[in-house]
Amino acid sequence: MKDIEKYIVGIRAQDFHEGLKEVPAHPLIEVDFRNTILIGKAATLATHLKGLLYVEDYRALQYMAAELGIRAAELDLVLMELQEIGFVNVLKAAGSFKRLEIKVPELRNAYEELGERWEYLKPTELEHAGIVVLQNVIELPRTESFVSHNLNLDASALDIIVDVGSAGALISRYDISGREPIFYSPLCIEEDPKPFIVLAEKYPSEKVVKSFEIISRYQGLPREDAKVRGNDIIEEAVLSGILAPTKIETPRGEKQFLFTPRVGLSREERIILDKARAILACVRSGQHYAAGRPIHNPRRILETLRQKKRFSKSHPDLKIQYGALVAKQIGVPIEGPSGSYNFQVNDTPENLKAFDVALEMLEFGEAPSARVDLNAQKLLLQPSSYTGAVTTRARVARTMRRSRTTQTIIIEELTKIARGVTRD
Amino acid sequence: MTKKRESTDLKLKLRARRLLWSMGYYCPLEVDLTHYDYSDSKLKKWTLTDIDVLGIKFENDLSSKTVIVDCKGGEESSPNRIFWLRGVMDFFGADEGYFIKERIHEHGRSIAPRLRIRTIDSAGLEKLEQQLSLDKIKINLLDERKFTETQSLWGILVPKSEKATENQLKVKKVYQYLKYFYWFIEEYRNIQNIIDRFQMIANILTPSEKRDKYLVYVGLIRFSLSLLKAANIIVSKNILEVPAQFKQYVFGGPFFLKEREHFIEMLSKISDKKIALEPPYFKDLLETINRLVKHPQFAKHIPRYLEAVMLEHLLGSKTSLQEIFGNDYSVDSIVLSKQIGEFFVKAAGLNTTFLSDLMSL
Repeated sequence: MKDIEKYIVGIRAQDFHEGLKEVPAHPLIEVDFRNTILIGKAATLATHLKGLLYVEDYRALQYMAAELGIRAAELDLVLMELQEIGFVNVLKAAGSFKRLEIKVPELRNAYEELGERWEYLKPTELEHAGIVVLQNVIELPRTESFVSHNLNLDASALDIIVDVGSAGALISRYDISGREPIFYSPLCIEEDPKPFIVLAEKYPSEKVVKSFEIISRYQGLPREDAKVRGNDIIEEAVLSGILAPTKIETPRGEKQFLFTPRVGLSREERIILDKARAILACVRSGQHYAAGRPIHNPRRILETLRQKKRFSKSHPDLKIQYGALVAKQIGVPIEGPSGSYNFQVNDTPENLKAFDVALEMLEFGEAPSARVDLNAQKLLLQPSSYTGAVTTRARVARTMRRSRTTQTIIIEELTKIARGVTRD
Repeated sequence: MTKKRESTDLKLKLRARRLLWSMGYYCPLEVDLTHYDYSDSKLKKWTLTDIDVLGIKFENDLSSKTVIVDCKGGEESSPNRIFWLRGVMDFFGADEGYFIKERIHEHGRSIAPRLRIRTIDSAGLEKLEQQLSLDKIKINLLDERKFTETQSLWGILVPKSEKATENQLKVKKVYQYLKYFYWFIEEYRNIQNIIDRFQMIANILTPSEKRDKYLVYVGLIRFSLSLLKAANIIVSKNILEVPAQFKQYVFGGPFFLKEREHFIEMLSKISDKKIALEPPYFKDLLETINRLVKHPQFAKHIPRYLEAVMLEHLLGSKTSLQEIFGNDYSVDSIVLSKQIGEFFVKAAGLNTTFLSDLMSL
């Protein structure tokens, strides 16, 4: 079983929290996944606090946390974890909350420290296995025997992980009659998992993982780029709808740009992610298909548009290059002198968030900020809003399926309590 | 110099500091054009000249203005002293000079503006103090006793009959750095040098010793000054590329950076393990500088906030920062000051209780 990088652990812990936050309290989640859920909550809160200097309104902070699935009673514990890794300082005066000072890293990947903290907390074997299984099935649908043998899991551990994962819409099982079941993650497969499973069965798993890694490491890769040109796996993934390329009109005709699938997002988050993909695809178009001088520093382009809302100079290419962003209401081209154009970004919170997500995809491949709940952030930035009507996403509580193994374990544990047996 | 003259000079100096403070300047103490050199195996002190008051002020874009004040009440003829002040200003790269004396020669008044020097006699100073309502300033910068106490805390304490211990000599080098070298080496070197100097004496200094605490605060304020200067370079060159610009700055510019990278690469080849050009604290340093660049309107006050904490909490009357800064009081500036302080003690390996006064704010 290969070691998982610490920052991946941090991201997957957040996946567990995000997935399970609307699932009613359950002993297996609350007890056996306690460290993962705790770090996941810390990751979610840190993502929303990033960029602020301090918060003095504890009530607003509690409202925001509640919006993110962190109960008021848990907030201090989550803040303590963030303080331990140096992301915040909780200042108290005479025993009461005075101020939260925020130091969440902005230039480096903050998930590294969260992953380290998770390890320091000595996660249970089940948690360890949960993170490994989730990461593996996110990479590729896996057969039951792969999961249990390669990841060295006994049947009962696998049952529990699948139960917990299913409750959080993180791991799903696909049954094909007469064959062994396949596990996949709904986080990376949109709607029908069958095409991905067929792909996973047709090609050696390592090859499929490596092919998808090419895209996850360079989100917005042109479909005709040499790195994937002639790659049967990628071609089949596009044809079967696993990969839905973003199409952009470039000075050299319409081109397609590839992004790894990302689901498990709310409708609002999905809109932001779509916008972010369109933005990054436009920048990639300038890198790969410019009529004149190509873009050498995509980060700079994104930061300029994010901060200044337009370019310092007009350019003839800009109208075509950023045209795709008009339909998505990200901005409009503005005619400049002698046939040149600039691009004016519509200054809305959603659009700015989309730029942040595009920047993260550019830097890290994944875009954890896609899960930033703008409503929750508003609660903090406009503290008075907590007295008003809180707009929340419609939530449907999911109940956890209990397999026979899970049921047995719960009964065993409850029996021990009834007998007065204590555990370390 | 007579005692009376010394006292007059000190009063003028303190009034000049208060004047600059009221205009938003940070006025570091312990600035000396003194050089120490080994001669006949003994450390000798060479006093080149002295500066009465130095003032540094940052603007919202983090650009800075430096002024030097000469406020002696001596017998030197005004024009001579004004030309001397111009020389010191050039040496420090100061933007403006203040020439404050009891009486100012008419010749002096006519040549001073051409040399970017303001001339203020005692009557003029009094008028300025009234106009700017300096008596309402809450921080007590005129307290001679406090000033003398501050002076007495600066430097190692060696009884006359004894010799300095090895540890004291190590600490002395840090004093010498902060007082002298800090002002004259290339500015970009100060960030790493201050941390390095304090790392050397981190185990020698004791938080309960007021003298040591004072030294740590002076080091921290100098460090914050250097960070603001670095942030200014980033803002002025390319605010959108903080990591790249800061790396270039801290290693002496693009040419030196390349050269140093090449050198480290060669060192790595002959070493067992890979050596990094960046010091271990570099990532945190980058995050700290990024916050200053992102919040320049609050960051510009940091040296003044730290100075106020040092003077009021470490040495004095514990006047609150709200009272001292009045309408300019900002929690943002306090939080940024604390974050620099936290980074500094961590990177230098100092005991965190050195800055307990600051951290409790």
